[in-house]
Amino acid sequence: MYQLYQQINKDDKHTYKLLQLPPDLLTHLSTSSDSELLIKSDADASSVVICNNDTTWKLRQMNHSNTVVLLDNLNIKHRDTSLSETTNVLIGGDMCSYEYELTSTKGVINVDKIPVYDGDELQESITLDELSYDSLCSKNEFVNNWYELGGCEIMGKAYLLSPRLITEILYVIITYLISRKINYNNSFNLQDIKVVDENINESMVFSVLHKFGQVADNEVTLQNDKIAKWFGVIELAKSDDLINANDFLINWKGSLPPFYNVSLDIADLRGYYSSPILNKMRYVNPKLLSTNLSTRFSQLFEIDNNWDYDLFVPLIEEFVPKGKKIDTLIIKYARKKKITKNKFTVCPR
Amino acid sequence: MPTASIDCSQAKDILNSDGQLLPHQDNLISTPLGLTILEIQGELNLPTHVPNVAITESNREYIENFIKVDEIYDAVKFGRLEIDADETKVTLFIGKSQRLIGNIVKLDHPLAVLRVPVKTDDMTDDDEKIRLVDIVKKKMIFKQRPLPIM
Repeated sequence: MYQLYQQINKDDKHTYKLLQLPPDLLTHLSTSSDSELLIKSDADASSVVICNNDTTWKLRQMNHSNTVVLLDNLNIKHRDTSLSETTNVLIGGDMCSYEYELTSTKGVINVDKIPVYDGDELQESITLDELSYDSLCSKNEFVNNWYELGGCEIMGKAYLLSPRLITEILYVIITYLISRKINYNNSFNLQDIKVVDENINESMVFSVLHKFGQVADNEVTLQNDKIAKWFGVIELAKSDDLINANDFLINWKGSLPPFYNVSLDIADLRGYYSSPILNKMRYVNPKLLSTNLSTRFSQLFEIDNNWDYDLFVPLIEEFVPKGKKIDTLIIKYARKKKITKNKFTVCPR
Repeated sequence: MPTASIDCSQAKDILNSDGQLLPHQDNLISTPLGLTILEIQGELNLPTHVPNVAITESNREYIENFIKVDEIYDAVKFGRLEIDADETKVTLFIGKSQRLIGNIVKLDHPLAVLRVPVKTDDMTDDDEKIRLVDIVKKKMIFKQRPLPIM
């Protein structure tokens, strides 16, 4: 049997909060020697995240109307009291009217204030450390996402390389490798291509190699399928009109550096085009589509009101909530029609 | 953008100290560091200050419910807790007339208890960090309406 007491005046220097620990964070805390978690929020504090080095969790305050008391068990924790006997006494301190819930989320880099660099004059920017500090993102996710966004550090400041400049640098790197008889299908030393062109900054080369390759211990392995896709999307984006698929393939091949032999498959560009007429294609810029699913579906049906299922799915799949099937979402906002045994289309309701 | 850090240096020891031996009864409701969570569906109405009256025969029992903790805090006794023989049920007696039947439940997600310094105007960046001080894996929950004590 325990006697229960509750403090009626509180410690005014500290308050106690409860934070739910999801299994991945619990494993991290029980095994890692990294003893710090970061709490980050965006400028208006509408989003708050907790990060370790690799993972980001979204934090949500869950209010409740129950009385939750944190009690000290005086059999274990010593506290001075005016009681003559402190055996089997529990003393309540803070009451917690909410818990913090954590859900795993993708780290995001806020690039709103980062200027795009197209090879011309450098604009005012912030440092990479400042950007990392400002982003709702763990350290390692930041590094990966930064290069994926085409990020580059120039003169100690953060910039985003323009797609045109990325394409130009990529073209120069591959041409350089071919001219030096370095096999672009195998890994090569980063030092070998530090200076590919005197007009291209070393850090830009480094950024582009990180975006299109795997870099480990100064060795780079290019992801040639990703490079081919990049050139394909750039070529596709050159026209807003319907283009013939065969003509496009020729243009795509022609946009690659000479003697750069990689396999090209239009299917790799799914997520960037529609095909309202057989063997014709039209560029779709996914960045211009709404992130609200209902609006996104409407926008997609304005582009084409009878989508090939396989072309439609890549344009919405990143918005499918965890644990939900993509077809559940399609049925909610549209109709999925069976054409042949393995062929489906998506059209408005 | 605002950033703060949580010092979790104790977490590894706390999570790996499950084998630490505590008296059996304490082990059922408390963490090895001596923290217990009690949840009541409802409100606990407690006095907000110690009554400033002389002890008389008529108020002695009430006044004796108040104690001093750590020489600075006042605390009031609000009940007693009994653990049933099957070790999953608990009964909370509040005052002389009410009792609540509750359970000891394992939490789906363990709760980290964070000690957060209250910000004051004269705090600097070097001031105390938020600290993870304990991890609670079970709690006592009282979901039912109070029953009369017969």
